Amino acid sequence: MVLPGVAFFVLFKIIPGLGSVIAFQDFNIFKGIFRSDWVGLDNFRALLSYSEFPRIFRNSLTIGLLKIIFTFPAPVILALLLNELRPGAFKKLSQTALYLPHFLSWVVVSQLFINILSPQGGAVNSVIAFFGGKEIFFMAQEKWFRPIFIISSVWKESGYESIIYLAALAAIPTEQYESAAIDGVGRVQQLLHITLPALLPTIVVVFLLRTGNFLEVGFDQIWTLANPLVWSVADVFDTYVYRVGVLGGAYSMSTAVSMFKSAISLTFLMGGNYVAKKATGRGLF
Amino acid sequence: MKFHARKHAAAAALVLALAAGLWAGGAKDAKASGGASAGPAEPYRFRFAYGPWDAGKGKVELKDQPGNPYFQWVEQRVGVVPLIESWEWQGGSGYVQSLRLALASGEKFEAIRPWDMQLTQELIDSGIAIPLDDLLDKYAPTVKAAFSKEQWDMVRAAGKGKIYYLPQYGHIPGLRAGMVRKDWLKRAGIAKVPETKQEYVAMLRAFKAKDANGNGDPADEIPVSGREMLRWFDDLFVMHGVVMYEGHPQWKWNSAKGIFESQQVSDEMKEAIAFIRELYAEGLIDNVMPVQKAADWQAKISSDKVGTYFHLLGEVASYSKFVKDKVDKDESGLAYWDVMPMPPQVEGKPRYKNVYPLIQEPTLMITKYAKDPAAIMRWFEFGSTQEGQIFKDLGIEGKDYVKEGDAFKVINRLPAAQLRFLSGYTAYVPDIVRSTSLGPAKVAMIDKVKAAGVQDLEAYNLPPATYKGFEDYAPATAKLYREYASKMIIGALPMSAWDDYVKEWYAKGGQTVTERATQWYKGIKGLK
Amino acid sequence: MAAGKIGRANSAFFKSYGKFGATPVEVGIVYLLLAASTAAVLLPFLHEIAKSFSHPNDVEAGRVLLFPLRPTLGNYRYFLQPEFNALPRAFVNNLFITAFGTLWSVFFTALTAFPVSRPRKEFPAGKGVMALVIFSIVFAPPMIPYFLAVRSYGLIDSWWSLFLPHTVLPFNMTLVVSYYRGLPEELFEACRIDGGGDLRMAFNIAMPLSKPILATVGIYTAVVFWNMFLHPLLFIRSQDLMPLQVFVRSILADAADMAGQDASLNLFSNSQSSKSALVMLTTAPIVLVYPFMQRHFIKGSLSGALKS
Repeated sequence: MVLPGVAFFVLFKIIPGLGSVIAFQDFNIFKGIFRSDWVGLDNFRALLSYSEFPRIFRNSLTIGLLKIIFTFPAPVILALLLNELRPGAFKKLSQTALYLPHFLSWVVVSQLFINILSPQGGAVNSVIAFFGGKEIFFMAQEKWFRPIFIISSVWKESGYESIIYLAALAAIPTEQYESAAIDGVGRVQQLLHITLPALLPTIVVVFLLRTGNFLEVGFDQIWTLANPLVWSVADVFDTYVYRVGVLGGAYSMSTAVSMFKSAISLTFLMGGNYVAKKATGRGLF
Repeated sequence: MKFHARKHAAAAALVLALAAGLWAGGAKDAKASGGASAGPAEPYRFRFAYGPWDAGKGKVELKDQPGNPYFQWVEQRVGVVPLIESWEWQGGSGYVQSLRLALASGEKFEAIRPWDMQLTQELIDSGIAIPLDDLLDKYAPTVKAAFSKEQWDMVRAAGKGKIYYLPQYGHIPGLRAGMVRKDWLKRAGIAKVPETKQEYVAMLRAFKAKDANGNGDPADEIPVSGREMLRWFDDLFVMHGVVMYEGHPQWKWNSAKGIFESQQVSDEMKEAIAFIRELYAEGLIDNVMPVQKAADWQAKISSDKVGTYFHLLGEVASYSKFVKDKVDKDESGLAYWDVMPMPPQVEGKPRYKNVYPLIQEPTLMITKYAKDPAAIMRWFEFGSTQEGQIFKDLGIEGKDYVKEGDAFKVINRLPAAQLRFLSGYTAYVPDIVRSTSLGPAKVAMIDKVKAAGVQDLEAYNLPPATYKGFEDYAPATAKLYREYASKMIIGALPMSAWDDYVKEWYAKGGQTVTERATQWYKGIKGLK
Repeated sequence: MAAGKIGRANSAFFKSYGKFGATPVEVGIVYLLLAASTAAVLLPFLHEIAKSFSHPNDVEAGRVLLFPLRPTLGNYRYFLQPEFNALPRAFVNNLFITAFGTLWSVFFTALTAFPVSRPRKEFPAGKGVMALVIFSIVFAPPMIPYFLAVRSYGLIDSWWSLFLPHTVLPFNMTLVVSYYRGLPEELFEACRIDGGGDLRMAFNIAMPLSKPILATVGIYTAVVFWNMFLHPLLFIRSQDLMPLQVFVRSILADAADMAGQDASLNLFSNSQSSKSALVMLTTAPIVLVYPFMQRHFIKGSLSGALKS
């Protein structure tokens, strides 16, 4: 039964994955994998000695962590709120509306945020001016970049990511709530003692999966949202690879960076899995 | 539930069948009959990795289409036709990426349009591309004459003294210049297009103070605008002597220092940044410019909000949509704009010309797999003559256009580029441009800029190896420059921070890159 | 005290708005937060819709907020031009690819997830397969080897190059495995006792009970296929087979900075309003998937099974 799935993994993940050896080469498309020169760890050394490496490392890590801390709980909270409603028009409208932003590309969403935050007639600054304040050029200031990044992430993805939690909530038998209500247990207490425990396995699984690629901070989002004035906090591994690749053909370097990121993510994932197992008895494996 | 399952299963089976059918029958043979035996009577058809493929506008694909009149016309006329392979263009990067993948898979093209210098170099180094010197001399006189000896030497530098690629010619209608709103000038009480820096600033101030666009609101004018990454207001840089192209700082020989100096850190650049900083502080340049995306910048110009901007002459009409709402409209939009053939002059300095590379992207390379390289060269040569130009732009005489005296009259506007083939340009044929819908006005503008002349962008063909390991220093990236210069312009950093910035620039790798570039330049120019 | 709370739970007001045992304040807060969130999400969308029906000049001048100005269908009609005649075909392609791809992927994902979810003694390789899954989430193959592999399997210019590499989506599979593990063991034991084999357990017990998770995975998978861009870009060569997003990206990308030979004054060409219209057109179908699937998120589907 499991054979087709395993075949898939072998064909499309493992076999091409072996091609990662080009990270240890100076890969040339005309020589191919077998005849390109081997350079050992040179690409990794180049990465680590890159003058801006501390910055991209710090930014990637920070943004990755901020993303998990802030964008992880939001879908859960949304799902819990939606779950409080009885089926009806408002619930249906809410559910559908909330997952819409996911379908807009970052080009569109970033443009939206840039416009709303614009000092030239953007909505936010209009409100500020209305109350007598001075307009703020948000997108030009480093200190605002990370909050804007997180808020736009939450805005765009929470609804979509809440779907899995709604599915899990749907599986909780209603009798448990009925008997609790009859026993006089309040809604908040029900939340703590019935809902959350039942949701915990899903929460743990999704959380661990997110740590598995927590350094994938979203190239499209950063690229469209950032500008040179905030690069000092927005420059990450992916933008570095993009720049290096801009001259074309930097396959070895981008593979090396990718490996580096994956190694770090894997460490976090293993750590997270261990902690999860200790704390809740469940992990990914 | 069972019914749904059955319905789903039936749908799945249907789609499965369709997909299987498509796979079996639809898998198009990518290895087109490239080397179709070129018998003596048969035209030679060669496999050419060329095409752009753009969104609904159709794939440029001239596979064997004997029934296609354009295909036939070229076959008859030249005896050789390309069988074009295309990939999604995506701004050029999609094309190069897909081309690389195809090459990595071992595809054997007979001719390639590499477009990217890095790929060109790899094709040369791997021995796949063949030298073109003899073929050029024998079969392509028009192409040979299109470039000066110095320019060909630049091409030879990539190929160890031999010519391995034919570059694209600097296409005249692709010229850039500053555009100014004529009607704004009138309302602001300014007699003519500014020619000095003083006049220019005075014009900006007048735009800001008066209701220059005539809509009753004196506060909504933006005298001059630009895009993020400090792009597309080149004229404000060039006027100080900076070699700036599309917002990417280039290189200039500094004889005093004896180096090929990156404009990212030159003294001229410092002056230019200081000037822009003053404009910013006075509110004369769009204050959201540092974060402004291209679409927004274009929208502003098109909405009658911007007084002067810098861009391609050919695009003026698309940035003039406001004309549709004007009462007395001139549909072409060109009546509202005048061109600044050269940036304004700074007192005490020469008047600099706009920057434009006269040789551009590598457009043709012939590979060792070509069965008849001479024929390919003949085809390219034809496309570069006036006759070939006319065919490319207007089509077949009698069918798509007619000649009335010296003028061309278009009968049938050609469909997407997929039915024609493109090649390097040599001649600018004004009559062709005149025959298009905005013709005469555009030609007038082009003539003005042509008369003023351009500054050749010498460093356009700097080999990519110059930046190896220091990609942040390439003009298109210019990371450190953009960060610091942007901050200085908006006032987040003082101009006094410039010297430290230059030091940092050299220290983090600029020194090495400058040395490499200087060596290249000296080699090209024969300097010591 | 208890009686008071029961009274509240039974009152008609809460029967229609809140859930068991919810107080009016709690229900009010929920509504407030959700209304605010929904507005935060809908307003920008209404803005996009308004733009798509507005006159291009008003959109570009920034005058359009939530309501269309000088309403027009021109932005939508713009895409009916012969210039874009590849678009309808691409749209239909996308529908097929999404429908088939979703069924294909959900089926195999669920199928592969089942044995993995079984305890060690029943399926010892479970941990190994799970390790494969985790590995593929963390490590992605580099582009050239991936391309060469897919090419060597003969999948170039075929829709199978889109389906096969997405046979099992690791993220989805992990979710399903976790869900299966949460199903009560008694059901499977009962099935075994009845003489049922692995297949019976998988198809007759696990899958029917997993409607919420399969619906979720279905939605996530459908979105993946609908939005697919990189795989078609690399692997599809014929215009007829090309799905939608590759075209859409080209149209939406900035066509500025081109030496337009004959850039005539077409209001709608390269305008923000027509781009909004394109976004609406190409997003509408996939957006409708969720409401359609919502009926599968049935509460208490499990409880029924337990009782029997």
